Amino acid sequence: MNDGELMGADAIYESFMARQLEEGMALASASDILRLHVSPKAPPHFVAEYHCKGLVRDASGTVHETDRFDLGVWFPPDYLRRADPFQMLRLFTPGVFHPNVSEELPVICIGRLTAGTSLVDILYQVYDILTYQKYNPRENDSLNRNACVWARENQGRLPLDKRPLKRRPLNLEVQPL
Amino acid sequence: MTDRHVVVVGLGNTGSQLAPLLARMGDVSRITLVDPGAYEAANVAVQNIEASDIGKPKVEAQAEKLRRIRQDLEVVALEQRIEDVPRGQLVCDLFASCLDSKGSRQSLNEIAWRLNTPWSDCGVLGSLNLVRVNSYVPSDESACLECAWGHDEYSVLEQEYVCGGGVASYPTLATSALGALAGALMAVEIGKLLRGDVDCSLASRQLVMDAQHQKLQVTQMRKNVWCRFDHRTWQIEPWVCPPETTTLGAALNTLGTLQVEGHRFASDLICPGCMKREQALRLNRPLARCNACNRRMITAGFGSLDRLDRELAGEYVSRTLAQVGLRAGDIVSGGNRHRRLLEAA
Repeated sequence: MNDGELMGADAIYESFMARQLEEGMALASASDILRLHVSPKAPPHFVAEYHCKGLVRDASGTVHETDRFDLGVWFPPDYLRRADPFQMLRLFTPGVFHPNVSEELPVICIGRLTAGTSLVDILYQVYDILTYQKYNPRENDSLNRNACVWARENQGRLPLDKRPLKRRPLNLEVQPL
Repeated sequence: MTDRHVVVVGLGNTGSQLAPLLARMGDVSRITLVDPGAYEAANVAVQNIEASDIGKPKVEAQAEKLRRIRQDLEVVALEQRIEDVPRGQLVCDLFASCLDSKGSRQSLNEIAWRLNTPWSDCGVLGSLNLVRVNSYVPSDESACLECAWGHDEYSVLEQEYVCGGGVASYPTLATSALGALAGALMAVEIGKLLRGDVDCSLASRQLVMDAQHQKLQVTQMRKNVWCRFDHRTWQIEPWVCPPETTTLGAALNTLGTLQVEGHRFASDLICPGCMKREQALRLNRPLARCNACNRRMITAGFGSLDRLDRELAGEYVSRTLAQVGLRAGDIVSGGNRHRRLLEAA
């Protein structure tokens, strides 16, 4: 194939992105916690608002609970072939206190990110981290060692938010009186 | 045909066996060796090297050996990862891949297709005494490396995590004998491809030799319409544009936009370990590492750029291409045109 011709891989990427939008919006509409916005200019492609419990450290150094986190997600053009977690995710909420989140930089570490991992999977993984359902317990490669120590000493208080990201239908059958 | 140029990528278990065999081929006049590593003591047992090679860069040790075998052979040694070599320096008749990294194989597949150049790839699996050889010849209908890849293959690509750690390539645990077998099969295959004997070659086929049970298996590979790689080959024009003296602004005036495939530009790099900051537009090649703590530096916000235009280049338009990290031999793309940077006509 010569350069400039319409190629299958381009169509595959476009179809992937359309699917991410559809699935991401479906998750957000079925969630009491997540709001998803499409960015008009990439990057980021998506901005996710999480309304869940997590921790931040304020300017005075006090760690306290908060209930709103904003995350940007960018899918580079070669994302279906290689994923670089260094470039894809950014936390816009400052001061998040978590072993997997830098307090100084807008970065969050979700560990391995396979090429082509769906937006929905990423949104679930980030939610698990923000609410301390998952965290990196190793201080030596943590992005926040103080948060690592805190998490180890306060395991009984974790996770901070146990609600499922997606609303669970109760499927109750109500008999007429 | 004589005067053929072969680029050998990877000089470990199989590459160290293959390179001397290529040097003995009369139709090969030039060999370029690419490997960023140096030989260690443990390599003597499983690679085609001597004790005196320990500590030397692999490309230098092998180049010395090839020059001893044939004095008229032109040998170029590039002590870099294949991903970091300007692609214009890799223009050749054939690539020989002796890599143990899946990610580097993927990059070589892309490079070979862009340069419209055949490539052969080999692998060994010591625990099962298996040897594998594949060849790929770019065309509209031919299979590429990634045509056979599914989710599992992409999921085991080497990766580094933001918070340290990651997944590296797996050791092949192969003996020197198995490497020699793979090297010999590769040399025979390369000989056929260089002579144009494509029908008898392994183009779009895979040969697996099970040396444990004395079995051979050949598998036909077809182009996968769902392949994630675009299979594009490029028409590349030479462009006299010395990176040391041409400004980014001047290059953008000609190109409109500027991209170097396989790399991104970064303008604000930060070390997540010690918070050291580096603010200057650069092509992030090789990937920036912190001088103080050796962690991979990250871009603040979404600071990585696939391509530059005048607006994104901003205050850096007066910098030379060399100052933003481009080198002679780089292939720069603007729109659908691709140009190879030359120092002089």
